Amino acid sequence: MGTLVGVMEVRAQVGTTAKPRSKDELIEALFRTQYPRLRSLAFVITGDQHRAEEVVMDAFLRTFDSWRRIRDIDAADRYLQRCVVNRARSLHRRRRAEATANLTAFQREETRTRASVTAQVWSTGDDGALLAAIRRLPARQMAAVVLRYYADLPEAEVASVLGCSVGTVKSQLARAHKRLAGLVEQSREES
Amino acid sequence: MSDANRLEQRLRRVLHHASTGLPGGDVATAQAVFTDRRHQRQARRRSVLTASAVLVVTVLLLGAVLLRPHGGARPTRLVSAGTPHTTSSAVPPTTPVSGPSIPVTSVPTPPTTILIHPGLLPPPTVPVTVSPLPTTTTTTPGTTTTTAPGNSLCANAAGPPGMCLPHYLLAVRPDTGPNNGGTQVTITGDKLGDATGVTFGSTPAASMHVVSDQQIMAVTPVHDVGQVRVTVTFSDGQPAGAASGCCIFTFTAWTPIVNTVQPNAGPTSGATAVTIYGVGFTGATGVTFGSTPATSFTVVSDSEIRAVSPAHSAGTVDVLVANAHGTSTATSHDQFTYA
Repeated sequence: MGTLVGVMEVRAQVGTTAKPRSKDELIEALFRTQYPRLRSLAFVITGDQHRAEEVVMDAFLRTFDSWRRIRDIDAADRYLQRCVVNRARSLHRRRRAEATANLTAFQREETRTRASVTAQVWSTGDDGALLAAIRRLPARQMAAVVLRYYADLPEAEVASVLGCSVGTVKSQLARAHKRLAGLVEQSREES
Repeated sequence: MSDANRLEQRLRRVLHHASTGLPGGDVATAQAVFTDRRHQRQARRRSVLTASAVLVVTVLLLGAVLLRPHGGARPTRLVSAGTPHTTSSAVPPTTPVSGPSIPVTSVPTPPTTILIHPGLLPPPTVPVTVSPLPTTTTTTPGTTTTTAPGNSLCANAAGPPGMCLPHYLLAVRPDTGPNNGGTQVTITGDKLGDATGVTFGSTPAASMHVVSDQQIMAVTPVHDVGQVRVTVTFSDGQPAGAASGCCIFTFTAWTPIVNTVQPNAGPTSGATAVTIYGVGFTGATGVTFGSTPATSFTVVSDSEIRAVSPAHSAGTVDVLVANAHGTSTATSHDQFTYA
């Protein structure tokens, strides 16, 4: 928070002589700077370019709508990331549900018995299967994994984006590790 | 490496690999779409607000008319017995009205009392004073500065910090680097186009380059180990606001690394001119062959040192470069053989 104090000092020195920045200007600036990053974040989760773009657009519009509740640029950035992660995930889940609904009962049964196929792919080092496994993690675990390992945020920042404690982030990551490592282990034994 | 670390690395790789499948996007087009949708939303909200405001006003007016204290919109007119007399309600009373009961004194016909409801009177004219927008006037001896009031975000003390500043910084990436400088850093923010300088603590950057209005590239200077604030100066002299947690750069201690020694062999009598290649040689304080200091050495650049080998007994030794923070680690690449 040291920086915050610094910023306040700067403001105090400048007073209001500086050109005022409107909400519109700020959200546009945020869009220019953060759009590419958030777009790829959404893409990693959804795996679909158009959905990713839609998710990010939606997140920006939501942020704009709730601007009054957001205190500063930093909070806006966190809010955006949270929106993107949550929305991208629910879209991904919905798409999966639709895909399953379209399968016949026979196909569903077959998919279930072939669950170990994923595990087999593991042993051959196929990253696609790992990615699929990451996307199938429970919501918070997936969010924590993507923010920590893809967006490269420190644990404390992941916590502030997800609105939980650092301890929760750690435990979610640990659980995700366990689940994913379990898959690796299982595939090793099978092969 | 532990299993957990291996898994972490693999997760990083898989996720980054997944993102490479994304075709490049056009930010400008996306932004245009965003601006458009934003305006549509604003327009829709404005029309909803206007409609509801109109509705509220209508309801209030209707309520005011219907729920009068006298219980009706009809004026109560009491005409005393006498000749039928009609008073048009449209005639505005000329006498000052103090209450609902008005004795009208100058009536041509016999005494008549007319009760006119005040609701029917024309609205009194209230002098409307338009107060000018508040302006802050600071008077210092000799000069008077009058500053215009900022926008609502600016005026609000609890408002977002930095919002009123003309420039602002979002992030400095990477935020750590060796203290011998040379780290290329990207500073993102907005309205950075007219940046004239970047400083790390109080040391100016080795070089800087404005990429766009949202991005500056800078190369870190040589600096003491520690955390410093990265500041950007602009041609308009205005300081920049910064996102909280932004713009701290950490200089880490850096010990030299020796990559190759050429030639890597020489006589035991010494006096071989040896060129040492590696990184982090700026500020090198010593070069040793085994445990014997070099006869002499010159730092040519951060990646090159010319040294003269000392006399040494036959055998293979490590050529090590030391600086204020430590000595390079012995590897198989830094060996020199005395024969």
